[in-house]
Amino acid sequence: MTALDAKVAAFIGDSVVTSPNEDYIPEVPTGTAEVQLRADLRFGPDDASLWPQPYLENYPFLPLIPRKPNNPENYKMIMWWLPGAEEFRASEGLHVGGVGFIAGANFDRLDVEVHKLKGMTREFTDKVKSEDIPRFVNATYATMIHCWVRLAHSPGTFEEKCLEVSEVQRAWLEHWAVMDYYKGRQRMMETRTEPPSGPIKQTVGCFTASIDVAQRCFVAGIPVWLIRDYRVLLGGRVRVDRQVDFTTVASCLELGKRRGVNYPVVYSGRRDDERRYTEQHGFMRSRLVWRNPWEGGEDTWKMGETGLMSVTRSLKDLEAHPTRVVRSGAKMRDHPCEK
Amino acid sequence: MRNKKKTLPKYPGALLIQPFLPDASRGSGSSKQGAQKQKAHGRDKFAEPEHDPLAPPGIPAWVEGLKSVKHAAPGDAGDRQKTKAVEKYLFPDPGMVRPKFYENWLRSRAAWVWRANQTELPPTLISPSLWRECLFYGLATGQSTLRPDNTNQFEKVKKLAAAFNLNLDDKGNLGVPGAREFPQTARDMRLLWRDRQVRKKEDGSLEDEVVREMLWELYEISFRMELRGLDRELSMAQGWEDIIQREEMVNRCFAGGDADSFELSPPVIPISNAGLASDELEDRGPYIVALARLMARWAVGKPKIVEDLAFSPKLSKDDLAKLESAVASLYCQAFYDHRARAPLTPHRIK
Repeated sequence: MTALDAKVAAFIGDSVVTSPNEDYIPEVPTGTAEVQLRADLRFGPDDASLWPQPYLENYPFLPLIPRKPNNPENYKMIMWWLPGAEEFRASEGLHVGGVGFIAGANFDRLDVEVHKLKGMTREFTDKVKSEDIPRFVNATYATMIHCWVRLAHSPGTFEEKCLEVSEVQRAWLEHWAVMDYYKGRQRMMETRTEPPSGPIKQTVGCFTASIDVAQRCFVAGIPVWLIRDYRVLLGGRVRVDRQVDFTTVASCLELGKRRGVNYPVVYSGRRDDERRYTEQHGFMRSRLVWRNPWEGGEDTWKMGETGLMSVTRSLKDLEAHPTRVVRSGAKMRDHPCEK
Repeated sequence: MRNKKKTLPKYPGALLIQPFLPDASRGSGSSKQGAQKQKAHGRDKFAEPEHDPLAPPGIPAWVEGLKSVKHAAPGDAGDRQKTKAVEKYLFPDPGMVRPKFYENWLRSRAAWVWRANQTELPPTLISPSLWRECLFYGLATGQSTLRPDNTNQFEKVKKLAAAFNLNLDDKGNLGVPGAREFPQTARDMRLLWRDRQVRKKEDGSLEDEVVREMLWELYEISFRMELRGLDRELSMAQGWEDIIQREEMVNRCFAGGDADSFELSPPVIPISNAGLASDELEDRGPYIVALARLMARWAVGKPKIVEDLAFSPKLSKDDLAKLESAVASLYCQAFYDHRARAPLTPHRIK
């Protein structure tokens, strides 16, 4: 079996989707993507923690996000837990109705896994010079910690806390994937010529139209689905073990809207644009950013008749940099989530 | 007495900004008119409160920095606008919190801290008079005495609650619209400070230690949030990566700020003077430098010493002392220039 062969194959239009290392073929979402949080507070088929995504060269770790386990006893199962109303507790001493924390056994399980991964990261980074730590390790680690601190320490409404749980889970899964990638999988992708023996890694995997990417994933034991023109099968040089139907998005994922909440569409457009992924991050990170109460409206006192601000400047400085601080007071800066 | 205003030459299309003028044309210190306006509402907010044995002590460089704020000359554009503005605060000015409000502040502080840390909506700033109403009626204490009969106050607080996306019910309680109600328990009624039941003295007043720490926290939490807000504006931070990086730089201005789990608000009550408030200059050093580096990007005229020393690999004791004075003065001046009031500055715990 090579990366171009098919344990399974499925047809869509003039294309065939094959996998050399999986037994099923997930539906390839088509058409314009409307990326939005669904009832389970995930992004449906556009969520890399739920469904294989097109391989992105700039984010090569995404196919390594762990797959939701079939065994409910698996410790990673907590990364798909959605809190129920009974897991929400009032914040003691905070006298505002409907504000509290998530608590209970599930929360404790999540806490344990976050701290375990934190420890593993420290172990990894302690062995590497700080300048050699891959930037994704620092970035996804920081995101996980920021999300965790807010979930564990800041009270909020039930909806806010549920969203924070899903953000911690997604941050954990991505950081796990990054650690997996840099701890060995990247090397396997670049240096191996044969796939690992034994079962492949239980990760979400990826779609690709690139034979090179398919080859790299195959030798690293990452689930991969190669999309090609169906005519490649006509030459008889591609081994096809079995034709299957697509496993549909609708049969596996929650696609309905969250009841009572209208979450914004964070990205609308082509599915192969990496913004489909980065805008999900932008939305999450924007929610970590404190809103400045002095921004916009509150400080109109310092607008002169020109509508421009006066600021602390010496005359000398003013002469040297006459335009440095001239800003229109009329325009509010966009918050990242409003971009 | 009015200072005669010096004006810049009026050239066609000349300076689009109204700079603050050199010292001679600006009120200097708390004796001038700008400060008198702020004094008119009570104490001089550019000076440390006097005769309060429980007030946390000021840090000399910051006391001096506040005292030396140069006020806008009467009549200039900024000053004319300023007089119409109402000073607003994220947390109550500790100088305004009278002993009769202490208990209600302790009972409600968690709610106000929660509101100030929200990311969904910008936290609304509150005028001193509205803060007094909130503290007087015990808003968000679980024992509110605010009722619709208090028509004016009720309407004002209801408007405030709406700005927070909260409801105000007829019993004066705040709540998230449509959220599940949690019944109040006896535990909720306890008066706590740092997870400990607060004891009262025979006259009903709170323990001195609690009051001292509570007032320190009020200064510290306001300073932290005001610094973060001013930095956001003056650094012209754009985009979430930049903003998060600036927030991390703000965190590093405080003791423990480089730890993953550090929270800017609420501050941890220190057992001894720490960070910018440390007793020894050498101990204050890293935080003074962190603040100077933060200010290095501020789009304001800065004393040369801040730019020269902020990134200097090694600072003498003398340089450090000069840098401390410079950053404290620059912060107080920049805050006044942008917010039209005195900043709340860091204090020592003892």
